[in-house]
Amino acid sequence: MMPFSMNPQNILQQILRSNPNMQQNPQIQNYIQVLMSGDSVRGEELARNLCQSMGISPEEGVSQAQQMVQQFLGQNRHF
Amino acid sequence: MQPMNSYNNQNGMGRNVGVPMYPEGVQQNQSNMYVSPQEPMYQPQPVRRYPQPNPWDNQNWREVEQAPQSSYHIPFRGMSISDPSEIKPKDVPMDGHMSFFPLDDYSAVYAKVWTDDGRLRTFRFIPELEAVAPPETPSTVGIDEEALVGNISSSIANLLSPFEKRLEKIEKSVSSALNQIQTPKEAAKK
Repeated sequence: MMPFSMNPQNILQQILRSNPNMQQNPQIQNYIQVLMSGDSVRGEELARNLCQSMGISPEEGVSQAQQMVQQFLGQNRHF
Repeated sequence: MQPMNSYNNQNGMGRNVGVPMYPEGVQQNQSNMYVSPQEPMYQPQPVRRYPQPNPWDNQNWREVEQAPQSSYHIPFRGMSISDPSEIKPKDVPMDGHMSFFPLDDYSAVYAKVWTDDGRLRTFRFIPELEAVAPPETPSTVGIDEEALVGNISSSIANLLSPFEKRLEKIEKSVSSALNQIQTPKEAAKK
């Protein structure tokens, strides 16, 4: 088995695999594609737009994302 | 002693059913006993139960698999609102479909959808009254009333013209008759 490196892209992949609803969602797939492409400028723009549309600050968005990743890692300790 | 219980119909699974099957070398004697040449008595085999395939399962699968694309219904999401500010981003699911928010008084319908760059795009639909055909009324456009009256009067005159001729004849005959009556009196006076 390949060793799992704890970089955000891999975590994102694992989150995607663990949630089949996300895999079937074309909108989320578009967002994931941007994030997985490694284009940091476009990814940041997307994240800022999402935060603005959601009515939250980028800092709040980052903290929510961190919480989500920690929650995911807590549920999947084998990683 | 019972024959080996391997009942099965020819049901698409490659198994014969309904026909008792006997292992090779087993013969059936007249007393319904099976005698093997190698063994003195046929030993009953454990009953094997094969899972019976449900034909409906395959059929249903096929129906779902061959379902036409037109039968796919796009989920219709939304709710009625009294003000567009009531729409929250969480009311619009990130599944690529629009959510519709009609105003309470039906004066407009707002639709929102997430774009690929993470923004909420808003559309506003204003109702347009369907053009209703006016009730059919006798059209007076293009008709000259004077000409119409003239036409009617001429047609009436045409209808009455034979009667006029007859009246003239009657008048003449009456006047001639009166003249004949008056002439003998006048002659007597003279």
